[in-house]
Amino acid sequence: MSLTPFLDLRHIEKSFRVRGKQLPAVRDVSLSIREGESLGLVGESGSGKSTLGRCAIGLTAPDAGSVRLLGEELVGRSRRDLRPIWRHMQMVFQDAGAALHPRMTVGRNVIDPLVARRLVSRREGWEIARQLLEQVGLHADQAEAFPFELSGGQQQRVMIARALAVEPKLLICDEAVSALDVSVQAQMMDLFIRLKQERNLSYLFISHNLPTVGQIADRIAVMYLGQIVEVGTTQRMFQNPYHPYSKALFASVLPIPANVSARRELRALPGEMPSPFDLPRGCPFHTRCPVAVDRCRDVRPQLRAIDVDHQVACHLA
Amino acid sequence: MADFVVEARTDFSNDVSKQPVLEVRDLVVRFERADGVVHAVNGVDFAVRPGEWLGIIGESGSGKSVTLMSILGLLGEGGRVIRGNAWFNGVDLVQLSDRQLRTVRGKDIGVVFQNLAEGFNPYLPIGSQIAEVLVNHRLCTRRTAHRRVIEFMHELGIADAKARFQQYPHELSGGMRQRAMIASAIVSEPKVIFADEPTTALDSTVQMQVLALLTDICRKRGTAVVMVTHDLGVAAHTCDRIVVMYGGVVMEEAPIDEFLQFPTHPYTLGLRAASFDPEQPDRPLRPIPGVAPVLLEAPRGCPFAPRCHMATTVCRERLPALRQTRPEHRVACHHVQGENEHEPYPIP
Repeated sequence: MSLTPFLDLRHIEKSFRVRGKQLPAVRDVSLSIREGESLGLVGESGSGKSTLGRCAIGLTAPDAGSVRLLGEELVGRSRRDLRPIWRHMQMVFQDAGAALHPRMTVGRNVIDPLVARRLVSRREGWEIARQLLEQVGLHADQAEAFPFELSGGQQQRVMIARALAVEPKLLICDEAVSALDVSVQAQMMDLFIRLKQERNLSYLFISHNLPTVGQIADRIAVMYLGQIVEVGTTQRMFQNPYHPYSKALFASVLPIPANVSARRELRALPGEMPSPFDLPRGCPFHTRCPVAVDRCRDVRPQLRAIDVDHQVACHLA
Repeated sequence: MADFVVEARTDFSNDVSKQPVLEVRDLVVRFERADGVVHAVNGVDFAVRPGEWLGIIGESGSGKSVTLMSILGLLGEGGRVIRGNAWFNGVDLVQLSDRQLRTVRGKDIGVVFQNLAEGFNPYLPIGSQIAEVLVNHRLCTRRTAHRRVIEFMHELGIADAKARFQQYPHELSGGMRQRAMIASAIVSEPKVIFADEPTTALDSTVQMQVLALLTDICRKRGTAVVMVTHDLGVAAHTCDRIVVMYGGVVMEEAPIDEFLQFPTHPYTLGLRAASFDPEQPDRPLRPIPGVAPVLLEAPRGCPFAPRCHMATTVCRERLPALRQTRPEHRVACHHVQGENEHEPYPIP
């Protein structure tokens, strides 16, 4: 794993206009992914994690900030100028069924990005599709099938094969396994982990499901109301997160205790996430924070390093 | 909202004086489909004691939800109970007509389902939909119901209950709707609640809020709960006893402490090996290969045999009986003998 950032997001801001009101989805977020690294991005619905993912790959233009891929600025480029970039990063979404072309065979679906860019002939492409399908755990002959003939898990595998067709270095996965059945999810994660090892793939793995992210991520970033409140190694985040919100979030993943006396207390975080239309002043979490002090209500804390590979946005850190 | 801290639950497992509130015996459920008959539940036994939390765990397709639905008479198109009983209050629910069941459902047996929070009528205020439970079952007048629901919403930590009562479902957050769901399940003070994946669709911290709330309120009221879940961590932290189901059959049953210390069935061990452990995030998971089958004929051998690393000829030919391996611990596996031979199996 090299230390130069592969993808570098700096001070990203993105608001949407919803029913005449400003909805700030991402607020001054900086994040970087190193080559070969898997970064998990977790947060609850409405935290802005999907918007950040879309900004990273250029599907959504940020209002401000910079996105650099291997040092090259992507913000401000037209879609056409972004195309060569998409050879380096690809995205896998939640709903594979909707993303596959229903009237193309699975094989055509997989190689379409290559054929469309005239990178290979259709005949060469077909052989590549068969190989890719095998790599994602399907049968080469399933290239002849149509998407509707496959199960949800198999369709998601086809999506991954298609994303891999251009041999990207980074996969951005947005809730890529969340819609699947739990046992299929586990098999899918197996595939992601294997691809990471075999191809030295980097991931930006976005999910509300912490166990899923925990399996693949080297580091995890936690978002709350459009901001990153903490980034740390996976081990650190599950065992000893610093931010009070991360503490509550990671404590909600219950382990299987060795016996009844080793059970944890079910301690719930009080209250609800404030409406993004009406963001609290100061720290976004202060309204629910058990340790908030006066300064938290007035000044928004910046993300800063408190240790190697560990950054926290908290005045008390 | 109060900070919910749940203390260790009462252990009823040694108390033989407590008669079960619900006793299911030899339940067999099938579905007629265009492509054949699906054998969803194939002879399930379990009992729930007053105030007890029973967890039914397994993957989707294991028959755990169908078991609950069949007891409530909610099987839907093509579903039929072929055999068996579900004794509740001295009545066999399986024998009741739909009209008779309606007096039980929602009143004596409360329900909290995964997607039922979305099942609120969007055109009616949430409070009156909860009050409806009381009014429909003729438990009180509309006016009294109104008052009781507001009191109750308050008890459930729904701030500003009076205003919330008038709000429509879309005006509430997902967590608030799920809380309203719990309110409508418990407001009639049922003896038992059926909870089918009650927190699965929720965000992590909301999941914890709902779980803490549900355990807290049921413990205070002594309500028994049958909870269907695929999440072993959740089951381990809330349940008093666990039933593991696969292929419509009970694979293992034990009080929680026993279950945690001596998990025995290869399927149970497989589920554990496939579960993420937040205390060891680096431990690689071993998913059980394949998926739970759709049984188009009654399982001849052990339904888990095709995915089991220990399966031998006998497993494919004969359905193993649920046998006692240790006190109160029952396991259905040909490779698990009596108590003396019991040895923990290697994790697959």
